[in-house]
Amino acid sequence: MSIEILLTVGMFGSLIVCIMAGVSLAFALGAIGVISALIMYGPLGLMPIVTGVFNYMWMLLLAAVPLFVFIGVALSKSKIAEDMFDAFYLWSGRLRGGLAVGTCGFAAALAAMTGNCSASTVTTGLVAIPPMRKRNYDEAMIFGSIGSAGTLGILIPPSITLIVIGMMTGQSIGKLFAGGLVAGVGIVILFMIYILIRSWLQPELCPALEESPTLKEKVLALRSIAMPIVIIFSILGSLFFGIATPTEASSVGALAVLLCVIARGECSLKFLRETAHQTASITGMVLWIMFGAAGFVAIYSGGGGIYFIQNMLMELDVNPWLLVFILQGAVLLLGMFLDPMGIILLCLPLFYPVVSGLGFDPIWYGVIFNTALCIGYITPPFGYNLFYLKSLSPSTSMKTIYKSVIPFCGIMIASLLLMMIFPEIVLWLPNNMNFN
Amino acid sequence: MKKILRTIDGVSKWSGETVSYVIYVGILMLVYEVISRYFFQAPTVWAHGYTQRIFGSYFILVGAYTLLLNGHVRVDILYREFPIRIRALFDILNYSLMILWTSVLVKEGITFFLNSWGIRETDEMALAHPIYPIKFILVLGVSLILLQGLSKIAVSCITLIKGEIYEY
Repeated sequence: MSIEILLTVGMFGSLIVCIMAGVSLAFALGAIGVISALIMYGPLGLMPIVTGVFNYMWMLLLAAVPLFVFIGVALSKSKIAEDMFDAFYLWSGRLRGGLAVGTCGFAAALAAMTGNCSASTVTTGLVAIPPMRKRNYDEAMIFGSIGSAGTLGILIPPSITLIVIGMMTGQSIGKLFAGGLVAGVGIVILFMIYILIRSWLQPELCPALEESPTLKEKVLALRSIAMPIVIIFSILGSLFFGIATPTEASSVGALAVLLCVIARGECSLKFLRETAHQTASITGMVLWIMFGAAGFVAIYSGGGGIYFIQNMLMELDVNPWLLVFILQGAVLLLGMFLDPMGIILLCLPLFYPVVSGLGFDPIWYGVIFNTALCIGYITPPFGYNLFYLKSLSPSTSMKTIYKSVIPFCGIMIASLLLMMIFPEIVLWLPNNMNFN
Repeated sequence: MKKILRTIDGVSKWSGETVSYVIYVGILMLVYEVISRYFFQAPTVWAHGYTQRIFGSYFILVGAYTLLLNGHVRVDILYREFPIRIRALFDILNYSLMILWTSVLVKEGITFFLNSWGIRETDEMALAHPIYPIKFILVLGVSLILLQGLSKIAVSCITLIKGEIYEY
């Protein structure tokens, strides 16, 4: 058995064992990097572990991570999101299943302001579960719509995962965002269509609203979406019109949220303090996974592992399309166990050179890679979002939550296949935009 | 013992909370850069370099605070099912791997900093400002999380021996 196989099996095998034993991903990655370096090179080979950490500290693009986390935390602490839900609630009106459709739209709008899944899922759950329960919506409809629309938080721009994908591959973040926008919005629309069809076939799942709000009420409720529109526009507008880099766009968005909170009179020292503290602890989690992965990948790559896997994939005598399908399957599978950030850092250096070497469009690959991460994030039994759903309603059994997301997972997998077979679906927007 | 543990927790809490406010400085600095470049055609020479310095320090310094709040997420499906002593064993495994990694980071980080200090290393931007202070902050950040890890593993060991969660 060659040394590279031993290295691959040893490092990835012990990673899986550690994670199952409840070791934090960051610490497992870092420690396995250290142990492998000691075995291969002895104490003199440990330097890459620390240079890798410094490289990520020094990455300007990563400043966008805490800033997008900040936006999510600030929104969840202010009433901006709650008020926005009222508008979706009133406008979803007397349509059967309307409230679930409105919830999907709300989650997508939230995803366009925040960069990660946890923020959009938890906030959506907090505001949307009580009214849906009050209308006697079926539990499967409630958790399915919240969990699956919430997971699109990392697909609909701004997205922390797309930023890291751009950083690792050197591709334009703006184009990746444009592709993610098409994919994310497309999937949300499919969710909505599914909910409408399902509630038409089985009206008992999601009863229509009893009361009918007047037109005046509806128009007044529109005021509450003014601020979210300003925030979304400040982030995506400044980026898509080439005014700001992704990092700068995230700071513009953060300032816009702060100004909105001040304008609403919700800004207090307590708000500023708690938002800063919570942002720090979430950022610490994300960045330290990257620090751990930096050492792990440096040592694995130094031992010839990356070169070995790339060669192995290139020499597989299969149709390039089949290879892309196999790699996507691997990402989906890993997505059920690992944090999305970990998968990007571990798999993209292995897969991306092969896929782009085969002549596939790099932007397209980035977007479908990210979509697979999204699906993994919600796939039973271990998808992270399932646990966020559980924490929103501890009395609901895990089995109900599993059952609720399965149809939505099916829709996402079908959309992923469509995007893979017809790359134009993803690429028309990125290819028709001018980024400087 | 309790005094030491409380002091370490206090240091992590204080350092993390203090550093967390830096985000407001970062926001204002980046927005200032956008405005001066886009509206006044006068990009600054310092904003990006100092964004790197500010957020780089932020990333490494909040590690200990995240650990204090148990924010480094773990898969706890198996973990939750076990009695308290077995859970303490899993905790000890978690923290010992963390301590192994971060002690290497401290040791190699010091060499990394000293090499940079030795040549008074600067960055590659127009201003050529020094880079070694950030490498010093790297050593500081990993030392803080190592310290917090030692406190956590001590608590887990006492929990293992006593068979009940150790309060301090």
